Amino acid sequence: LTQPFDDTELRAAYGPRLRELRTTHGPECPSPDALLAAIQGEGAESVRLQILDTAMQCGACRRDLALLHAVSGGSTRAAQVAARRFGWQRFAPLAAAASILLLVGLFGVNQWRQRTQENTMRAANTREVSLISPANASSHGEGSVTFVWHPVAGALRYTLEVDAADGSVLFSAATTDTILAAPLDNVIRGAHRWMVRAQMDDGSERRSEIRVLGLK
Amino acid sequence: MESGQDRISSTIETVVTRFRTMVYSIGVRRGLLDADLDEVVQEVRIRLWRAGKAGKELDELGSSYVYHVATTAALDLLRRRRAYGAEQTEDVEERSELPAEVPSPHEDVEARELAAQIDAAVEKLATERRVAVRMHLSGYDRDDIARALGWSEGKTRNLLYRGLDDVRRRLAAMGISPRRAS
Repeated sequence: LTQPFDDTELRAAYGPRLRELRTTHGPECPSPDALLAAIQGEGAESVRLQILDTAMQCGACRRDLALLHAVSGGSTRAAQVAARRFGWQRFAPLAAAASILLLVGLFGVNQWRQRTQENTMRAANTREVSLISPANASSHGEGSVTFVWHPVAGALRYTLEVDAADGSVLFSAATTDTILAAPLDNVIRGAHRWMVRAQMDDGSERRSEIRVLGLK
Repeated sequence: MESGQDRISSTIETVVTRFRTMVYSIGVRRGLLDADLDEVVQEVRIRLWRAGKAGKELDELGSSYVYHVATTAALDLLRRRRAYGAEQTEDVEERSELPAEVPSPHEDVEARELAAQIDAAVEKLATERRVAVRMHLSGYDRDDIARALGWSEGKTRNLLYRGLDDVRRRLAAMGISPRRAS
């Protein structure tokens, strides 16, 4: 029976394709201004789709897009929007609970307590994954490397990822624990990056900072 | 006592260092190169220096100002490159990342064939799913995709997961499965 690819395997297997993309622009490539507008969600959807479809098939455009996305505050703003959304969701049940208190008096107290507890648990889930070791920019020789991070409330499992400088995945492993000894003997030597992603019970994903890992 | 120029330099270094760290952590998974970011950061440093000399209070500048300066600097850099063909020069930083050990020719061919088969499966998707899947495989997360395409979180999730499912099904139908360590 053929086993399907999981998300991490699919990304890792697609890596060589990203490295093969041509590294100079062609006549069909969108302009830098068009790339910036597209990644910021400006203009008609059909135009943005066309621009991004073209850009994702060109290594030079992909590199330009990554630069424009990062320096224009792409993910930072998205995270702020998500945080604001979460903030509203967090206070909505409290407001509802307050109304219940006013309407039904003491009967509402229990309900309010339960909701507050739920909110506290949800708040814990918003934490990013906090890494413990190895330290940033540490170097390692042959043998396995042990990665450790703090647990995140509500995480179902964690995925450790070691990436090359171009973002392609060199090693990936999933665990429910917060420690993982990774056999990196077959990983190419050099300066790589590593991070941990937590798959949350609400279907979302939390990420750690990215640390540099040297393999000698 | 710290002179005016020293104070400007020190403020700029603090702002630029913080900015570079944050931007790098965002961009590295999506294909951002050190060399590109360094060029932009250097330009930001120069523009902030000029602003400081012109009397702007750098301590009071918000992060949105720095992002604005960096975005303008990046656009200028990319326009210049395209105008003068500078992108065709070899990037020394990229070369320094070349691995000391490489996979065997056989493994390399297999990996490239598999990547091409995945790409062929992605190519067959309808446009919306194709773009979502390509952005995802290039390192962009759901929030990035939703914002760029103006889609709701639900629509993005739906199109992305259905697109990935289609790709998996096509690969499975061709008998292609991941190599997993036993």
